[in-house]
Amino acid sequence: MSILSEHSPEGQPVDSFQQGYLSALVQGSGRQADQVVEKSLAGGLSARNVYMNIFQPSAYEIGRLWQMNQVSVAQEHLATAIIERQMGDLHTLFKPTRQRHSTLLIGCVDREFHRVGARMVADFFEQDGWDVVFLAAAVPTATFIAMAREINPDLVGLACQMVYHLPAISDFVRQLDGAGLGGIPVMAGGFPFVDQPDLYKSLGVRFSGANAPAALALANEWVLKEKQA
Amino acid sequence: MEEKRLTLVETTVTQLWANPFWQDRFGERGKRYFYEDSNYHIDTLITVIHMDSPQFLTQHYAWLRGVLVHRGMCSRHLLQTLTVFDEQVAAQLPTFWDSIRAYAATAYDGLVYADPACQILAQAEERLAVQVTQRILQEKPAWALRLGTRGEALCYEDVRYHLSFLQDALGFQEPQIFTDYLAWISGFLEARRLTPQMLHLSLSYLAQEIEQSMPAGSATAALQLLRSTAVA
Repeated sequence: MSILSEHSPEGQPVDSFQQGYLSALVQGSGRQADQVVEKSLAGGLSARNVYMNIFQPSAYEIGRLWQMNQVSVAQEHLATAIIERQMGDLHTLFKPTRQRHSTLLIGCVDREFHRVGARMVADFFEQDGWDVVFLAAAVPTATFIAMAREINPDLVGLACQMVYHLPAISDFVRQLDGAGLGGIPVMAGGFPFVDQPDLYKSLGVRFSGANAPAALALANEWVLKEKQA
Repeated sequence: MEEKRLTLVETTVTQLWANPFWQDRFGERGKRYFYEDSNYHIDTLITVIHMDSPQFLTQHYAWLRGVLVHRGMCSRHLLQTLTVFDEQVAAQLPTFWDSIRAYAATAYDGLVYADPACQILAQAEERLAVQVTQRILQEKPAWALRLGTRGEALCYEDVRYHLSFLQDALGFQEPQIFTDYLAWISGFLEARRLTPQMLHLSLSYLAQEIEQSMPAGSATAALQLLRSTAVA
């Protein structure tokens, strides 16, 4: 079943799960949201599908509703907390299907607090057999680089949702290079990279993916190439 | 710009806060957010210059307008904020301003609605406001005498705000944006013991001027909204 399928194997439109889930988030009901997730899994949706077709669009919609003043900051934070808790619950379904012998170090750039997207990417990589070190939100550049020195990853992932945090990415690349770790490839992701797919080129990173599956496909292609070289 | 950040933000906020709208509608909490948003504006502007990606500023303002219009501001307020900020940069950093004005201009692009009816209304805004103001002052000479030139300017400004909130309501297809504004402005006038008659008259004349001077199809939604409000 494709990750972008519009129906569960049992024929229920994925949209209906997403609407039910969004409604639960707006009401702030974690229990109700749990039921939607349980139903969608019972209906045959994969955990990856739940991430991409239920969690992600619902999180975007909650952001839009906040913009339109239809949900408060508190409701938005509650919705994020519910999604994160359920991602934790579903984590067992992201068991590695193979062993890639590659490590991803991923987190949000300094001052960037929107971390759900980076966590989704982390889970997708883990399921694909990567060893993943997820640093979550607003990681100060110096400590991020210190961690890179310590674990020597095959790839660093940087998440950035707010446009005004983009300079932190090029700053990170400069500092990584300055620390003698410039050989570690860096990928980036977040709203600005969806809006402008070529943006990564001007930031000194190797590539960016519009979402978790795209980032994973590009990373495997890149790292495979690097290892063969 | 980093060196002048504090001065730029402070002078922009002070200049805008001279309009009692801001304090009355948003109070001290609003002022705090205003400082915050002004700093984000500088951050975003620096980023788009750094990245040579002006479209981010356009996108940021299209997004920010969605946030602020749904919290009691109108596009004109945002436009005034940008204008005052740009004037401050031009005055305090004249050489720098010449090199970045093309970037700064892209913020205004984010405030253009895709709806052609809104665009036509935006183009006619100044003319409509002049016509409505002149009609009011001609037909109410006692007001003209009492208010003087400052009153005329305020009347004109008020009509511009009515038109801005009207366009926001049409642009977002949410009539409530306009009706909420009317409820607030009525209270604002009442609290200052000002007659609501001028508001009623200006909305009524505005509807007439729009009907007479704009293409019928483009004016329909604006007229429906103006006429659905009790005061019009």
